[in-house]
Parts: sequence; C-alpha cells; structure tokens
Amino acid sequence: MTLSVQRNGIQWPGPTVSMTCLAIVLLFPCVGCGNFSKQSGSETSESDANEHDEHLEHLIPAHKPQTFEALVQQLSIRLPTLQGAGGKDNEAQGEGANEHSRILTEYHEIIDWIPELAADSNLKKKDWETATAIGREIGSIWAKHFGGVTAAQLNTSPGETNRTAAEQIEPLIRRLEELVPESRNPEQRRESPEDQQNSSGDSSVSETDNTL
Amino acid sequence: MAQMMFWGFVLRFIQCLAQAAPFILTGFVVGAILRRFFGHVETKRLFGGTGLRSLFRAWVIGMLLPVCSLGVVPVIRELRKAGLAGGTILAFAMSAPLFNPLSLLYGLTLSEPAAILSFAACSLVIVTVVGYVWDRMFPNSAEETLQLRGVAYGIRRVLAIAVAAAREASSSSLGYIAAGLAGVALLGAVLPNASLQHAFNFDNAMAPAWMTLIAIPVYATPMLAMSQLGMMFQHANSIGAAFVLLILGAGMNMGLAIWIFREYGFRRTLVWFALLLSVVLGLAYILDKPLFPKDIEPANHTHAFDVYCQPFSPGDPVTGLASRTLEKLDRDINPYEWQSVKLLGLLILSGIVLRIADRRGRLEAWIEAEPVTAGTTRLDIVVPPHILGLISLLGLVILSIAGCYAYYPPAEEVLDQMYIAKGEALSGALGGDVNHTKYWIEVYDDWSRKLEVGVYLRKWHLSDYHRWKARLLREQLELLEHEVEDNEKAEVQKLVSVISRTHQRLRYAFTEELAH
Repeated sequence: MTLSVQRNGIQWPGPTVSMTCLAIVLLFPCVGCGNFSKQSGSETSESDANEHDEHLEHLIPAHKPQTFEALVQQLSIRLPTLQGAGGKDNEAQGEGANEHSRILTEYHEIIDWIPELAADSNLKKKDWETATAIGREIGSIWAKHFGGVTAAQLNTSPGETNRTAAEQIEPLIRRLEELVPESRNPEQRRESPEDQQNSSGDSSVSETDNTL
Repeated sequence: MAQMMFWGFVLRFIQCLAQAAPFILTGFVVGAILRRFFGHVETKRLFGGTGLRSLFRAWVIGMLLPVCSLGVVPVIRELRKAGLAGGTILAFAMSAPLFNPLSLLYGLTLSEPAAILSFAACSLVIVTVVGYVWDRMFPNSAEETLQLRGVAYGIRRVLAIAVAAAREASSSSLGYIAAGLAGVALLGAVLPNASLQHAFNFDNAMAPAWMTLIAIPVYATPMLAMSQLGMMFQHANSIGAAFVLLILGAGMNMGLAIWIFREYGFRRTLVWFALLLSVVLGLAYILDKPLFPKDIEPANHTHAFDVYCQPFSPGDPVTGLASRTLEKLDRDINPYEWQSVKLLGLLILSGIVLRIADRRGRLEAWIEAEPVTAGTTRLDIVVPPHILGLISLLGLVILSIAGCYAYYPPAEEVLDQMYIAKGEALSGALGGDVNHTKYWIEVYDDWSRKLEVGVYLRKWHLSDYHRWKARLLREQLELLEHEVEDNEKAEVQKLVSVISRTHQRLRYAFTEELAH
C-alpha cells in the first residue's frame, strides 16, 4: 500500500490515502445525517420517517370536484357568488376582500381542473378538446377581469367587473353542461337525474382539506 | 444492523453494476475506438483542440454517445492521453452521462418537457462556464500528445478494438468504476430506509443544497435519473433539487471524483468542484420557481430516492437477508442487464489473461504491423482509420436511436404488457401484498411512459388528451401505492375499481383515437 508519493519535490498523499480521504469527505455528510427530513425543516421527525405507519400525503383541496359533472355544477353554482363578491357592502371590510380573493382563487383553480377531470371521464377525444377549449376561454375571461388584481383592489372595485365577467362566463358553462351526459360512466347514466345529483356529492365547500 | 448494512451494500452494488454494465461496455468500446481508429492526434482534432469551440464539441459529442458516468471513465482516460485540455475532458465527463437519445425521449413524457429542455440547455452553460474558467486558471492541464502507431488493415483492425477494450477493462479504469459503485452502495448501507422521502419537498429552501450533498456519491444511469426527475415532477418536489440530481447524480460519482483528484491534484480538483457546485447550485435556485409545475398538487414526499437508502427496513427480520438479497436481485435485474454483466465480466477476464500471458505486448505488436498504404485493386479501397472511427461512433449513435424503437414498442405491444402489470398490481393490492403491489405499480407506471414515447416516436405527435390519460393512470397508481402501504382496504377497493376504469379509457384512447 502506497501511503505517500514524491512528485515535483513535494510529498503528496498516495493514491490509497487520497481515495480514502476523498471518500470520507464526500460521504461524511450522508453518514452523519441519518435522516435529511429533520434537518431540512420538514414536518416529519426522524423517528417518523423510520416507522412504517408514516403517512405520505397527496393534498387534495377541499373544493376540488370529484367528477367532470361536479366540476361543471361547481362552476355554475359559484357563478352568482362570483358575481356578488366584492360588492359595495364589503368595501370597508378587510375580511370581505380576503373572502373575495378566496372565491376568485378557488374559481380559477376549478377552471384549471377542466382538462384533468374531463380526461377522467367518459368524454371522447373530440369532446375533451371542446371542454378544454371552453376552459381556456373561461380562463382568458377570468384573466382579463381578475388577472393581477390584488385583494385590496378587488375590495375597492365595483361589482360591475364581476357581473360583466359572470355574464361572459355563463354561456360557456351552458356549453360545458351539454357535454355532461357524455362524460358519465355507463352505471351513472342508468341512474335517475335525482340520484346523479345526490351521488355527485361535492356541491358543498368544506374548509378542511381531504388527504389521501 | 451490521448485517443489514452489509447486505444493503451488496444489493445496491450489484443492482447498480447491472444497470451500468451496458453503458460501461459502450464506454470501453468508445475508448478503444478513439485509441485505435482515431489515435491521439485525430482524437484531439475531433474535439476541436482548445477553447470554447472544444467545450461545445465535447458537450455535443457527450450528449450523443450512450454512456453513463461510469462508462465515461475509459473514454476520458483516453482523452487525457490524447492531450486534450482538462476543461474539455471534464466538460465531456459531465455532459456525456446526462442525456442520451433514449433518456431524452423518456424525459419528454414528463409533466414538463420544457423543464427537461431547459435542463439540457443549462448543462451546456455549466460545462462551458466551468470548463472555460478552469482552463483559464490552469492553462497547462493537458498532457503531451503522442503519435500512436497505426493498425494493420483487415481483421487486425477489429481485433485491435477488442484488445484495447480488454486491456482497458483490466486497467485502473476498473478501480474507478468500482469506486463509483462503492460510493452509491455505501449510501445504500448507511442511509436509513426511506429516509430521503421528505428531504426534497417543494417548500424546503434547502432542498437543492441537500441534494448537492448526496448527489456526488450517487450514481444514476441517464434513464434512472430521468425517471427520478419524473417522480419528482409527479410529486411537485423541489425543481432545483431535481436539476442538481440530474447534473451531479447522473454526471458525477465517486470514481470520477477520485480520477479528477488523481489526474489534476488537490488544488485543481478543489477549484473544479468549487466552480461546478457554485454554478450548479446557482442555476438550481434560479430554476426552482419558474419551472415549478403549476397544474400539480404538491405532495409532502418523493419515492425517487428510496433506491439510494437501505433496501431493508428496520422492522424486517435479520435472518435470511442473503436469500432476500438474491430474491430482490432476481426480480429487479432485467435479462439484458445480466447479459451485459456477463459480457463485462468476460471482457475484464480477457484483459487480465492478456496482461498475464502477454506482458511484452506481442499481440499489440502484431496488430500494429506496418499497414499497407494502398489497395491491391481499384475497388479495394483502403479506408483511413479515423474515417472508420467516425463511422463507428456515428454507428453507435444511430444504433442508440434505432434502439429507441425496440425499447419503446408500438402501443398494442405496450398495452398487452400494461394489462399484465395491471393484473398483478391490482390483485396484489386487493390481497394486501405490499411488496408485490409496489413492484408491479412501478412496472405499470414505467410502461405507461413507454406507451407515450412509443406513440410519439411513431407519429411524431402526442395529443394532450393522450398525455392526460397516461398521467391520470400514474397519479391513481401513486395513490394506490400509499393506500396499500397504509392497509386502507376500503380505499384500496375503491381505487382498484377507479384504476380499472382509467385503464379501459386509456386503452380506448391509445387504440381507437390515435389516428384522429
């Protein structure tokens, strides 16, 4: 084993020593840390990560509809809320602005879920493309009226903006509703319309997040 | 504990060796082609000598050749002998393992193909900036270029490649490769099982920095790095950390680090790493937010790095670790990988035999017999060796592109494989068999990506509709994996039914709706 070598008059560590040192330097941080999650500031503790009952989570927002049909319903149901929010009654209240901001954010997120939930339905390619094109149209209307607007600005802006946006969005939702029958599963189609309304669930907005 | 560490080391070492074997073999062949067909002078010309042009050429050649960070070792050793500047060699060493045609195509199926293209562009920035600055700081890093003796024409040319590859396979290249494998295997021995699942979450500002710490000993093939990026995108983990993983995880390993240290000394190595890590980390933090996927709900974990941790969990029984290691190896290693390991073993053995039996290099002397300068007839043209070398390298690139069509079969074939994987994964889930389910979910997930690439390769287009169908399936499989791990029977049953329906829709989309 060569522990040192002479090169250019300088005594250098030999290959064995060099390799060992480099290996130690490079591996030291890994050997010493055990679990990175603790040091990284993650919520999970070291012992948690080592145990098998640990919960690995995918956060699903509470306002995320479960089906395409529920999504269209949500767009329709929330439209009057969108129209009314941020009106003169709320102008002086900070809470009103926050609430309006939340309504707008959730509405925008629901628009963004159109491609995913349309794909997770029985819609065929042509109908899926129609649904996503409508989604893009709604998205551009939303961006035109509310894009880049802060909560404070929303609070002071008149409800007129919201009404104009809602009027433009409404016919597009009607077009999405036309696609709903095609989006249903065969077993859903066999159910009565009342049953469908009951089973689509998700019409109420909960404050808590569902986690899987 | 010590037993688990030992078997964890053994398992990870052999798994990585099997994954690396095809790329290592390619590396030995490329090194032999450079030595025997190009020679040192022509190799230097191929890489454009010195300066920015040579750095760019090194990046382009590296991107085209199908080698990994272990397979690149014999090639850079040859480039060093050819007298190339250190910056150019290191630029090649870093860029060659990052992408190849197979992995680039795979990358395009990730949720954000733009991110992969940005990563590729950034890798050019890294090798150019770091290589250029390093060359300016250490202008005399190149060795003297020596003129090698030519090779006689005919069968001796072919034999020359085999002999050069075998000699190199039994040289210190083997030591560097073993060191690279030992580095990643050591991680598998010392990092607790699943301990990296929460280290790279999107909201962890330190994620790119932590990734830098583990990415140097990590060894990942281009395909593995790409699939890990896929998992990180799927979970909306830190994009900066994903970038560091690609550049350092795929581009660097312990063997390569040791080679740089031995060739260029402590100071130059330190400067190289300081420059490299500064640029990589800087870019990682710049890319982190702009490339973050906007349409994915972030998860609080990733499975991408489970392969770098202890394969056995603390709750597992200590007895029978050897047999479980064998079981895992048998299950995880593909037949073509075993074949490559055997071929690599044969090459190393041949090299050792040559070294023992032919110490004076008589075989090489016979191979290097004075070549005939002209053909005997008009049609018997003597092709210059460097042209043959260029054709060989181009052939390798063409072969790897053609290999894409075999690796990513047509949709019908993939769907048949997916049907089998679905059956295994879902029945395992219903039966509560966690290991079986996890294994087949991985296979199922992988086939869903191959389905997308296979269609894209044949039609040069894949609609968003089809991408969504495959992505939904993967997301549902991920949820199923967690439910099976948590033993949530009701949720598992529900998800099994959901996945079956999603699979049916995907099948319909990829068979009936492709032409439209």
